[in-house]
Amino acid sequence: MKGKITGMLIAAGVILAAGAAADSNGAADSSAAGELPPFASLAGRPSGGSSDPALDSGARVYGIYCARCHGNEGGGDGFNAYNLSSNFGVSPVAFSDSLTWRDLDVEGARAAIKRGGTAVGKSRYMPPWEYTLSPLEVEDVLLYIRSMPSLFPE
Amino acid sequence: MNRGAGRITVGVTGALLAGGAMLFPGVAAHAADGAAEKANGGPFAVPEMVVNDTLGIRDRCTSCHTGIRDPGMAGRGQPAAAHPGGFLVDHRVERFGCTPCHGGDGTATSADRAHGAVGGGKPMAVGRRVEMACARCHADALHLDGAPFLSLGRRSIDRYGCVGCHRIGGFAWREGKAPDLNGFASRSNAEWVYTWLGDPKVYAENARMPRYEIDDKARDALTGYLMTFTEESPFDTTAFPAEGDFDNGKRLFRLSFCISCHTVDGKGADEAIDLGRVGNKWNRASLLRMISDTRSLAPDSPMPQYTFTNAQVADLAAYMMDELYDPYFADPEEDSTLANLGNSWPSEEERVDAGRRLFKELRCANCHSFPGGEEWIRVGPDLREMTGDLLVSLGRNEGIDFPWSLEEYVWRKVNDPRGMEPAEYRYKMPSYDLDERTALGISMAVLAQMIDDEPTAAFLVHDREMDPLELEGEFGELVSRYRCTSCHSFSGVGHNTTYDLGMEGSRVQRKWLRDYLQMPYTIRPILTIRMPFFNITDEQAEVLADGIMRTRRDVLVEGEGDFRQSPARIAAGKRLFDESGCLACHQMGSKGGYVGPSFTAGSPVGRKLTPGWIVRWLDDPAAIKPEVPEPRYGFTLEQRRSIASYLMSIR
Repeated sequence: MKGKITGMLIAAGVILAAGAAADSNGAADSSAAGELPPFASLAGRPSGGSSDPALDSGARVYGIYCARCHGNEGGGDGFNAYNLSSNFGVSPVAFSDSLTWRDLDVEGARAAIKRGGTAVGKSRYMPPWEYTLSPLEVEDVLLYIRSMPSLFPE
Repeated sequence: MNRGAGRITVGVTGALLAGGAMLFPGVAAHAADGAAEKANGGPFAVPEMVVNDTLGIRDRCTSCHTGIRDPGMAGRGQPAAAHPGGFLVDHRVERFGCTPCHGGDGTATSADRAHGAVGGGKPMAVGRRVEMACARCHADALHLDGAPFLSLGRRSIDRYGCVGCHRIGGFAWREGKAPDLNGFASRSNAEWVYTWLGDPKVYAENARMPRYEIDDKARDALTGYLMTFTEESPFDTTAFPAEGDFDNGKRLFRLSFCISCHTVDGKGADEAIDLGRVGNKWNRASLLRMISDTRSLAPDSPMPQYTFTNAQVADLAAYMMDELYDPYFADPEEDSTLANLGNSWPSEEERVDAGRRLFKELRCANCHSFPGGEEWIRVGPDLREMTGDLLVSLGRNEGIDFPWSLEEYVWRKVNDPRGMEPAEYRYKMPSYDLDERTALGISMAVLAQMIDDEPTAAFLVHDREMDPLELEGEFGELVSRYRCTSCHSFSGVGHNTTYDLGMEGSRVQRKWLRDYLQMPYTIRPILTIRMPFFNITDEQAEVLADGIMRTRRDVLVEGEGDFRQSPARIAAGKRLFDESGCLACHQMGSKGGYVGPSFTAGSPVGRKLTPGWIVRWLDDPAAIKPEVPEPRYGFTLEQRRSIASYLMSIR
């Protein structure tokens, strides 16, 4: 089972690993003996944390609209999650848990993001975002949450 | 070729890559903007070229970057990848092309040439560098969503008062915000200022004043000079009780939400200086004065003038002098030179005279007012006019081993203002000890405003945050007194950290507003900042509520309110409210989430909002408040009226 899940996540994992490696190299460069890295090397990097602009855009969208319930690192534990479970007995999906993606496929996740939880037979407390986010932002945030198991491993 | 913005499609049939509509075959060229462009905004063909004569665009980029607008291509590899984020919503490719933001050569027919790798064209901007192009049109914005580094840089330029010495594009010149030094010696003490001058961050981690690398003797001289700035008529404290009540002061300090702007030991909103050691800096009399008559000490400060009784002011001062005092700050046992203050000069006269010369030499007067007038202001270079030529005129200091380009020069200058200058210039620019992110942001912002290919006025987007807010009469005076614009904007004017008040008069009911001004409560638990308890008087609350009700109206919002809140609508609204899961974020009674405002706590929503505003808000929340976490549900007008009827029935 585990091998299968890993296989599904390889694509995202490769992208992220590359991003993380680039950043940690950069950090090492800039702190080395107080040497100032050239402007060109810093300004040429992506604005977000990874080396993939789509992933950065997804992270930004996630931070604004999703993190309050689903948690900053996708643990399903945002600060509003407690209210949802104690009042309504529902728990926000934990995207960083790779087991989540055993039951949830990309189509289902896209449908839930666009048309809300009820569109996929889940909770009404997940609202629809298709009138708020641009189609590209939906794809970016989808990419980001799919990458969460490798971005934020337990 | 046609003039204006449009798109020329070359080719016979459109390879349909997005959407689903058929594209007209053949060559289609469209004149400027508007309807023609919109009609043409669907799927596109290859090869193609975006033409916009006003911006001088001839971009063939989408010939290869075919998936740029296609959500199905999000996150794919280049050249087919979709453009990330929502940038293309406001910056449509059909109008802006690609090169105004990304650089490169739009007319090139090979990738290497288009990207500037060969051919001597403008190199393409990648990564964070792309943000610098935002400033071409958004020339005076302090914040731009999607441009985190440029925004940080421009905020920091404002925060650190770079315009005290430099002219910088997009900023008003010499809007110095440093404290007025007139009467300084009557408010503070020599030990504090001597330590502060060594490194302001020792006193407050978030101090804005830079570090001047001067030796102990020079510091001593400056201290001597500053301590001659005595008040001619010291602040009269006889109207205040001699002893304050510490516990009540503590309560008032909390209610006043001082840490909505200030930090205390690093906790708080970091909009204003840390108060953790203010008892070391100021004496009781000056605290009494600052709290009771803020404008007399800080005429241009964003700090509100609270309304306290003299007894309350004394209580606050008692709390602050005791609690916000650090016995280990400026401790002679830690810094032995403190014990010898004034002793390193042969005479007090020579000490003060040396201090005076240093004060002038270090350009303290560029930011601070002082007893001596304006003639000591001496400005630094105009950063709008810096070009590569400047580097030639500066010459190269020995030992410089970085590529001698304007970018690298600015970057190093921001990081280490003195390290790279010839000895005779070393005193000019002080050290800001910036972290890498901030230094990079400032460098990018400085370089961005030097880019001289400014688009025509039609494309410049003016940011209103720093515009003056002109409100008349008593209402205007009160808005200024309580500095509403330090946290709220009025239709974009002001530093908005919470909620724009542009439509407030049509959004809320007068009675609610009046009561809330006097007795604010927590509306959004998610925010660190809180509406302070200003002690607004009955009369002031009436004037403020009247002023907002009179001047902050929106006819569209009010027009939306013209419908009957019938029982049928109320019932339908309740069903919709329940089915849409509104309680995920909003509270109703004891049930619900903490993301949005409660509909019952503080005030029932039916006594707070207006029906028209609810109808309009539900149509598109982000259109009223950008990036609000509330989604747009796509409700019909009737549905919105029903929900509004239901919410208005909660009274």
